[in-house]
Amino acid sequence: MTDQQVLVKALPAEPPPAARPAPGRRRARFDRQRTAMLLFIAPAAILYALMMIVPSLQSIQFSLTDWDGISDTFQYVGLRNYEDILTSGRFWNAVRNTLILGLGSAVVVNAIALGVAMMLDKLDHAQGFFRTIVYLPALVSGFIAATIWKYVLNYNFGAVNSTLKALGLDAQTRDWLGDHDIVLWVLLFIICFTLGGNTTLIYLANLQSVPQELVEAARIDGASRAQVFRYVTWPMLAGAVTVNMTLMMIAGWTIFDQIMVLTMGGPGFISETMAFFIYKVGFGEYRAGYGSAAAVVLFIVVMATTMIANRYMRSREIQA
Amino acid sequence: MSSANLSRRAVVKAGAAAAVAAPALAACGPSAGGGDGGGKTLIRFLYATGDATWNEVVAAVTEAFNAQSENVVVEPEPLPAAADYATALKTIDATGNWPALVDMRDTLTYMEAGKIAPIPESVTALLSDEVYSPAEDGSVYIVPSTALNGEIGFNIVYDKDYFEANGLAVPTTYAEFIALMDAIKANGDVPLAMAAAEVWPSDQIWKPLAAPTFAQYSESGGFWNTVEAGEATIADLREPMERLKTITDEYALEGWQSTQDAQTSTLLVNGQAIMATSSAGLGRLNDIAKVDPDYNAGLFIIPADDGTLNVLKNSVNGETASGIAISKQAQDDGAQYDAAVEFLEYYYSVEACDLMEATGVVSPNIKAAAEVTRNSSIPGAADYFGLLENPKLAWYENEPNNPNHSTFQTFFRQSRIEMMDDQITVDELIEKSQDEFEKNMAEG
Amino acid sequence: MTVVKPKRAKERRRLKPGEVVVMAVLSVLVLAVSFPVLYALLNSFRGYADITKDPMGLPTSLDFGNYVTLFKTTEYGEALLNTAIITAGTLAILLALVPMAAYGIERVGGRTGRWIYLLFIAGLMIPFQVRMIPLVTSMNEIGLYSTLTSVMLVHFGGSAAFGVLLYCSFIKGVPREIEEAANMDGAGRLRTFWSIVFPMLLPVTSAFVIIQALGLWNDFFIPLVFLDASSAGTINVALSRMSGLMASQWELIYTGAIVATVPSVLLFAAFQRYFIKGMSIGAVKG
Repeated sequence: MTDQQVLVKALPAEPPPAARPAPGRRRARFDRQRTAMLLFIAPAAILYALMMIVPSLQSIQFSLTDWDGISDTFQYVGLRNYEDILTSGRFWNAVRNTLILGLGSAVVVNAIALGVAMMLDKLDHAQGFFRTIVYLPALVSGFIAATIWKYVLNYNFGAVNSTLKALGLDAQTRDWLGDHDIVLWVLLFIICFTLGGNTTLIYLANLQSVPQELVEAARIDGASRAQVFRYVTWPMLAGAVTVNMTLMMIAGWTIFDQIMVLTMGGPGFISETMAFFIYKVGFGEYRAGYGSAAAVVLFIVVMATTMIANRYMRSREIQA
Repeated sequence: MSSANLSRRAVVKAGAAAAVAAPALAACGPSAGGGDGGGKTLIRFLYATGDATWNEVVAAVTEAFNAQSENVVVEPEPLPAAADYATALKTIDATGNWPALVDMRDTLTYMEAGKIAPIPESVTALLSDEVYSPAEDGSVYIVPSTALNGEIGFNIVYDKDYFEANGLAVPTTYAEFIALMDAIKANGDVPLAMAAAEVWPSDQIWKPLAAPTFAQYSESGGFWNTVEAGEATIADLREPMERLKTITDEYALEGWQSTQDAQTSTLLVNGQAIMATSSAGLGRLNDIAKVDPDYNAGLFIIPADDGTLNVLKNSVNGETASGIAISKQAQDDGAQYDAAVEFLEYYYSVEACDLMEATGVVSPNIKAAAEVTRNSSIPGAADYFGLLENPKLAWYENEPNNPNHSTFQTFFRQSRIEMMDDQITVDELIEKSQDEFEKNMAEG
Repeated sequence: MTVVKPKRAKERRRLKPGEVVVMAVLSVLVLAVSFPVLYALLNSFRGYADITKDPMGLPTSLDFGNYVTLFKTTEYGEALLNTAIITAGTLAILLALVPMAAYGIERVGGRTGRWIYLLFIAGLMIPFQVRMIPLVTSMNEIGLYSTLTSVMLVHFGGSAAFGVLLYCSFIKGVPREIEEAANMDGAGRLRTFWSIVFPMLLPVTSAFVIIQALGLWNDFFIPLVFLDASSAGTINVALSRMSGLMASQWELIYTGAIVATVPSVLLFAAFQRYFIKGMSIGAVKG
């Protein structure tokens, strides 16, 4: 057991409530403490507000205008941009793609990561070595990986189709990034083509904190491996699942690099995601107001789905 | 903003050069003598990358200019092609950090927004009168970067040796073009490579097909303006749309959706297709010669039913006009404006035009054009120059007046790809494009 | 509190057949997932004509010509340096401000703490595209556009949200008695924080630093937007400019991809011990 693990085990299972009601005689001390703590927060909060909150609010302002992104002047047009967006098939297609890629990649990557973590957990020898090499693929940036994939999947010169042809499987060659029936699934595949990296490590750490006694007791009681997983291990992982799913989904809602490098949203509009749509209409089509409105809608979608998913997963955690 | 600082710093540093600089100014033209004391002014020249030949032209001309200029240094600034150029220009504008010289697109939008400055007569006087034109306020805002031969560069590039070996000839009517592709197909080869990965190259096949229709409206103000006036509709483009569909389905090399513009050269050289679409004219021939000097390339324009070669005349001053502009920001700076003018005066000299020709593009139409040495060493170059002399060549005009037109074109291009790709029918394409057109124009 | 008997303390057994199977499966998986990078690595030693004619061929010699060409004809070296500066600089700002803020949020607690926390967490859900246009405009107004500083500040906005999430969940578990004792002894709160609390956060700090370092090193879009062509850009930006300039010169693209990846592998190799420990700690409490 490492020092850090000891530390974790030494921590109370339930952290004390962050702010306990202060007894009367400690009131003044409490207020001083509070002011000091607010001052601790201030520098980060101010910089954060300037870099995140203020520009986001400005986007809300732009979303109510017909600004083209260039002119010095613009007019307020009320909610017209929002009406246009919500009645646009192109936008809903982008929403659908975002949901498929965001949710899909969250589920698939978590499943892969959990599987890999369970395999690693089985190892009593060379676990450290395998943990390291399993992490290596996660070190390649999405941008770089997409750039390589673009050439590997090229219809006429790419390695994938060349190999298929060499194997006599000409019928299986596809225009992987240009066939509208499959392009979204190819994108999903490329985004999920990882062993999870951080996600795996988080699961592994949680698996290693599952009390071995519980598992052994269940086994003695005649539980099958599957039952042990279902009733002992899985409930213990609930917290990790929530964290991993939430982080992956948030990353998924804003998928952009891969689309930009691999398909430019095409062929046609078919593989546009919301983040790409915003970029494209806001910058490429001189409709900054419209693009900003789409951005605000994206924010609402991300916020809502994350909260619903989080609430659902948290409730599952408690039941477990 | 940072470039303004740079130039001021440069002025101080290069103060010693002032005395030497003065005599050279006279030769460069009257406007080069700024009030800054003659120190070396650094200006940036923003241009679109993606075309290897154009990169070389910019490099060669700026280098030659810098070598002979006593008080100006031009730094070429390639704009990454990660996004399309119009998007990237927009990003530059958002920063408010305009280079002095800009390889311009969507000119009308930026002109009306006051982002570019008038170009003085000392520059325009060097050019043939038909390749520039004043805007409504009487000033000229854009001058051509290469020869203004309209869209004559929208060609089909082909394998001459293959044509000879199989007894095929360049088509003189649209029917012959289709028959040609049938013949190639019957040989077991793929007739045509197209590209649409960056979206814009899909215009390379569309525009020649639509040209006969557009040409009908040339006299009456252009097709798009007629549609805006409600006297024509996008449904009038049904025939070219159907032709586009047929060519895509029957003759195009598969994988066009994800093929990039530059890759069609590789496809040709590898014999994976016998012909390829292109919009770079001589530049494309030059690229091919670089990849495979032995490839015997030729080019032609897809003819109309009656054999006419309808080619869009350049807009010299409108939304679709492309060329070089001087930014308003440079004008505000003063010294930068003078430097940019000095560069443009060099750009339209016989010396610079010779350099451009040697690199592989057709140089701008200058008054002294007769003195320029044309480059005919590239395989197929004779075909290109032959097009300009072709008796069937007919120029047409189609300049949209509405500044929102580029927004529509982006949409229209993507929607056409949807149709080519079987996601929507021709009817749906017509309907949705008409809707979008009306919505866009109303916003303007 | 029950002390869980750690399974690692089991006496060392001999290699079980099951373990061998797992090792084999994991090795195959890693090789499969590394395929694109291995493919790029192999092709970085091949010439253009070679790759075009036989995309699946192997290099015939260990020819570093592409690497030399890459550094000679492009500003890749400068881009590497820029990326290193951005990564280190952003981390410095983050570490100076975020742990302190997270600590403040947890100790203020109650409704106020919760709201400030949520405000930070909301940042995780704001896509960069939402704030892009206003940020570019205001960076330019204050003269920071196309400086490495602007990239660092913009990165701070996104990374601070994640940092607050990570640190807050960890600080919840740090007993306040220790710092209260230190306060009683008259130590200033700032000193208490840096000398007593911050060292206790080391495990989460190491996880945060390495996750962020990799993220910052690999980021593409923020430097793409905030660095214009007057800067050599970052590695990914330089690579994307190359894709524009050399549309079908695969050999240089592959080489650039490998060069961009090597430093993150080195970074990981150097710090992986801290990283994995830190991740495990952060994760268990996450």
